[in-house]
Amino acid sequence: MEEAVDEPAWRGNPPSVVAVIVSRNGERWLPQALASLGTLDHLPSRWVAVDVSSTDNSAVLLNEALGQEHVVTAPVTHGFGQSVRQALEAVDRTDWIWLLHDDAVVDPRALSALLDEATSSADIAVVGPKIREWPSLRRLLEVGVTITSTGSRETGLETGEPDAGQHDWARDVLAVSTAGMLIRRDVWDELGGFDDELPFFFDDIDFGWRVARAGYRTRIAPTAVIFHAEASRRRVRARDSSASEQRGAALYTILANESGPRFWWQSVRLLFGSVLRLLAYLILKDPRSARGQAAALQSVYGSPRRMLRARRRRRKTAKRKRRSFASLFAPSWLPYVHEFDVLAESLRAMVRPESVQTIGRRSASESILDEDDVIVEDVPWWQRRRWAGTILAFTVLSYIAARGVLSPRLSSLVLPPAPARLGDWWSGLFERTHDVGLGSADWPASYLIPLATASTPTWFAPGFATWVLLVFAGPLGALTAHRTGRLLTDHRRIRMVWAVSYGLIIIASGAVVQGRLGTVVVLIIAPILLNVALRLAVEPTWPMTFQLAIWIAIAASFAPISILLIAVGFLAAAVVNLKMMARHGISFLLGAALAGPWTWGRLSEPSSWWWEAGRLVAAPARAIEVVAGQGGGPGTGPLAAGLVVTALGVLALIPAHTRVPVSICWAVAIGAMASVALGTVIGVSATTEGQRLDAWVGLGAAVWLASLSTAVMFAAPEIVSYGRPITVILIAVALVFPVATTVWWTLRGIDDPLTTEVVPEVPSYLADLNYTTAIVTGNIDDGGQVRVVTGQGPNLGQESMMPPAALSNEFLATMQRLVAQPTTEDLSILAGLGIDAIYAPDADVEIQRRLDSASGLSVSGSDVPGSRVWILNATDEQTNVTNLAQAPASRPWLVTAWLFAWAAVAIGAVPVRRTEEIES
Amino acid sequence: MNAGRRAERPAGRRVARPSRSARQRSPFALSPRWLFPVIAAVLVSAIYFVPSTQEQGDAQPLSVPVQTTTYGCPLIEGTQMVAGQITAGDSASAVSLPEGELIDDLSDATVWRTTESAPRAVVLTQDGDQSGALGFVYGTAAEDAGQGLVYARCPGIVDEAWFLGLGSADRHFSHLELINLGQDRAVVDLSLWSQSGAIDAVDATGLVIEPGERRRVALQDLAAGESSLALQVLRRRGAVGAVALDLGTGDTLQGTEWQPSSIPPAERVLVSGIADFSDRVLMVVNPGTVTAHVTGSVLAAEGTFVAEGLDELAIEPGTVREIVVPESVNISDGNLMIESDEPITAVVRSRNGNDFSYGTAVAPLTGPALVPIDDLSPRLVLSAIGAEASVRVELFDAQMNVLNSQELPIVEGGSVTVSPGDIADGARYAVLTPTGEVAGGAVYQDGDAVAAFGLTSAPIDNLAPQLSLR
Repeated sequence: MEEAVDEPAWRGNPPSVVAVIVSRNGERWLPQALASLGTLDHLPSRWVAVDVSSTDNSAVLLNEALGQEHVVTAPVTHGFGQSVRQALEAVDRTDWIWLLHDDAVVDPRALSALLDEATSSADIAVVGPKIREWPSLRRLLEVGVTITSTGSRETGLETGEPDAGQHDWARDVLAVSTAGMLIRRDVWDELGGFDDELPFFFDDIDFGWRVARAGYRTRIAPTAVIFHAEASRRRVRARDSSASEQRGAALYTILANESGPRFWWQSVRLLFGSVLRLLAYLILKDPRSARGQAAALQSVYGSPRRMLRARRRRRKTAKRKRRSFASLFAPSWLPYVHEFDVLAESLRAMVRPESVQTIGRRSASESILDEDDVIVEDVPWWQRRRWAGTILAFTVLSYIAARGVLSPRLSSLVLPPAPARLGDWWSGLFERTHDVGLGSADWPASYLIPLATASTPTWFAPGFATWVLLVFAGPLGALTAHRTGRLLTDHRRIRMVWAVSYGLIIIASGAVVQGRLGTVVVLIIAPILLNVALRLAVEPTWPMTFQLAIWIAIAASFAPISILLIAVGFLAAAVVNLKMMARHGISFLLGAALAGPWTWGRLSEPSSWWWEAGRLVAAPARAIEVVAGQGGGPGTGPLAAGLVVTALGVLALIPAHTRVPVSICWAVAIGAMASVALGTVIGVSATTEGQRLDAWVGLGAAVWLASLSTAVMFAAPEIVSYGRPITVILIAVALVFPVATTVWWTLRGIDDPLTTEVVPEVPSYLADLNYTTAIVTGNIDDGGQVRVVTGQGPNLGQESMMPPAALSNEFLATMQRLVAQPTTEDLSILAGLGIDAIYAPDADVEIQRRLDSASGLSVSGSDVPGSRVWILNATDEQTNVTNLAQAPASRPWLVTAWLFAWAAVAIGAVPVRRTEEIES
Repeated sequence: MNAGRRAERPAGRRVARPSRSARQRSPFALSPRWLFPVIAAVLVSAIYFVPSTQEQGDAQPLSVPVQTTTYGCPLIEGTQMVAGQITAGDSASAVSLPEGELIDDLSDATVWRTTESAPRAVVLTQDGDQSGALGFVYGTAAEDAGQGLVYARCPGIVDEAWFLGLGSADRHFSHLELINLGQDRAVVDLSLWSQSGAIDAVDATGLVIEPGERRRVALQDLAAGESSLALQVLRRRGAVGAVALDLGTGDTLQGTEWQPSSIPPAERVLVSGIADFSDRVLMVVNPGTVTAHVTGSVLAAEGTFVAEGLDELAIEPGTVREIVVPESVNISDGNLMIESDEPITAVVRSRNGNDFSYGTAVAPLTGPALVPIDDLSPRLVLSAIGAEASVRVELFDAQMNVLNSQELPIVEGGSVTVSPGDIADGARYAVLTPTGEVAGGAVYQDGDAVAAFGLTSAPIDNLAPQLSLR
């Protein structure tokens, strides 16, 4: 009795089922596929096989297994649906049709489980099995399938997701694969089977969609399992197919089945979407897919009659509105996730040049996990994934150290705040007149292009990218260093210590705390640049050439001095091997060109070489600080720790076996130190005639220490030969820098002078009134500085905008006279230059008194103790600014061309995309 | 590329295994790679020894030519104003306050010119490149104003002015004359010290002088009944000139004097323009909080001599002290140097029964100075404060033609006395051009009537910070 209760009802009166096997050149899989059919616990009542003009032994195998009378031959032009239809004509009518592929093995319970589900409700018309991968047998391929609104086939599974029963519940789905699909015969007849317009792609989804519209249900029966080799998808089975077929089928399926206003919306959306895809494929240098998109558009939108016929046919059988089965479709956001995946993968490929080819969405994704990590069960993950754990800890410590600057709008004396709106960065690129200070017609800062691009995804917080770069400079630097470290050493632990030390060198240089974005960015990308340069030497491809050009351009944009260091490095390498460096030369020239007029201007004047992104602020550094890898000023790391690295760098010269790489590191270090010495001698100034200030040499100092640290990394394996006591001592010494710097950095934090408060350079009310204010500092004996700010001061990117020389000179001469003996005439000139106020934050008392006595200057209040403000009492006529600096009308066009050049090189840098043919 | 791997497995790669002799060689043996630290040391040494970029380019103050000069003369009855310049100016504009009427007599910037006597204030603005415009008030005050002789320089814009010897008792009336030289409201703070300490005067701070206003502040309104006051005028904003009108009509003090500002307190001040009377009183103010120990010495014709009776004088903090200069101290041909361990400033009041004058603390001349001659030729006493110096005295007529000149050497720490009237007749003014560190004063005497003032440079140049654009 109990058995009778467990037995499904259909067992007593089994429905008739015809199994239809469609085969084409499947001799490789057919023996096992046919053999598996023999193991079924419930056999179909009839068998029929269709051989689609196979050129191998498929027909023979089918004849031997099923008998000649159960095998029909279809012409090669037949698609899957036509083949099935031909097969059905050859056999008696049954209740159900079970479709099978020649590269699919069935589980013994497959058919019975399908029938269990199929007979559980009267409105079930189609049932599909859970499909697992053959030969792995463990990975899931499909548990039902649906379509996204952009026409992608969506399984809802992760790539390579193993089957652990996580999807084992029967449910309604939009469609199931034709491999193992069980179809009610009457519904098949009612709907006319598969659409002949979809011979290979999307025939299953189209059929499922029509089934749903007709008021029937498609179910997945996870207890029914088949194992599918996906021979066509994996290109194991050759088939002539055009790139347009799949996309055309997707467009056809959506437009043929959508109804009402949604049809028109999708018609427009898919048209534009396909055009965008076409462009994207061109960018990804995949012309075949691009052609496919174009052909698909032509085939669907160019044949309106075909579409009308398809829609007319479907209207006849449609009984339900789409909204009644809308839940069966993929979520609306899913396509965008997929597009993001593609974008992220392309970027990842640029950052990690070792992954030279991509295979589209969900390609083999590399993570921060170290592939050398040995996976040992039963130990905590952080021991199994040591590098991932290290980076996670580094990131957490970074966040802790950033406790004082958690708002993503950083600023400091050096770093102006990001604008409130991202659009200001983009629009600023095209301005002919920059409303900064006295007005400027300068070229926009080169680094705005990569910075604005990187900030665009977080348009609601333009300063977020800057915040991430500064706050997580350590982990980011460690990540890029570790990635490059794989090219340099096989020793995992040494590499990890070196990479972390590199990240800490960035922090200890003082660049982070002072907000020296240029140094931080260059140090973060320097390992990538090295990585690409090394790979380009052994693998001279154009994408790699363009990648190197991009990184050079970014480095030069953020810190112009870096391009000179790169040039010296390349020249030195060219002396050794000129031929190998040919591509590097191209990359260098391309990168230098891409850096644009702003950078060229900086490079044309030696006193501007050391002026990086941000305000020009003097940074006196002592010699001992430089030796310790520091640029001087606030926020530099423990001096002794840096000196320890230098000392170890000297000791690294001892081992004879590693003298070559260590010597190379020392050569780089010497180059960096030479740049520091040069910077110390030349100094830095905003203009040729401007006062020379102590240049920030933190970049060179950090490169010096990083090079010595790399030398230590090379020499480290050799110390084992010196005996255990010495080894232990040297290891302990080598850990002094990372440990001491980490403790110092975590305890100190990275705030002060870095802050999240946007402190106006002028008293708040002047900023609120958007006054143009001349700021005077200094005293009579030592000289003073004067600068002009508009509103609260320049945003990041505007700080380097200088007025034309004539205007500057006129302003400076006027201010000079004004602080000597103010006259109304001078005040009129100032008003004509657009100056509204004069602000002396800490000016000499004598200067204050002189300005106090000026007729036409009204003393105003200041919210900063010890400072003075004077407002110009100017008439409208006086304030009529006539000599405003303005760039030529061609400027916006030239900037557009500049942006296109960046885009073109970026496209060239994207690794070649390998198309994967997907076939159902 | 993978050096670490190469280092780890040298045998499996092409890297040559070191020869036996190499293995036996000391790792510190001379090798080219050891040049790297040497080169690095050289570079670091260069960084160490190269001076800071900012140190290299210390911005020296700039001398900026004065283009416009403004000064004001608050006249009293019996006095008139004379205006002149070192070189001819482009234009001059003199207006009377508070009427705002133009005074044509003073509008020619190419001559030495005089106004008629009138009790009014005059503000004169003169344009011209390094014109060096100066104005003076001179004459004899009316009877109710002490009937004393007045010769004084019209004040320009003051930042900080110090006046000593003022009083508000025994028919000794002192006034502070403030005149707004600009077009905006001016504000000053006043501070007073007496012999008994600092005075917390009411309404002494935030005094507002409206544009076009001349304000006379009676010291008895601030500190009544004080016989010896020191007054500091600190300009807070605006353009304001200040001069002290000191007059006496009683037995203790008789006469009139326009006292120009003394220099702010310093540890070394030269009091110059001391009239050769027997009744001389040194007045010293110590505005600080520590007792100042003061010593006086005379910069006489032959050199510097300690002034007997003026050594080791203690000035209590925040007080004014009057010290009678002994008759034995001869200052007739010299100036008085006061040195202190704390910042002080000082004047010397000389008087006879009918008039008095002040020798005031002056700064060394930084350029040419003007001295009006008119009917009275002053006695100029010029001192070389440091090393030996010289002064060129040029005399001009009213049309600014040179009449004669004389070069006067001054010995180190010594003084020279000259009367311009002895150099040329008919001169209206003298231009004194110093070489070296020179300071001095002018004393005018007409019988018992006396007037004096310390010399100050004409406004030719102004020191300004060397500005750079950032």
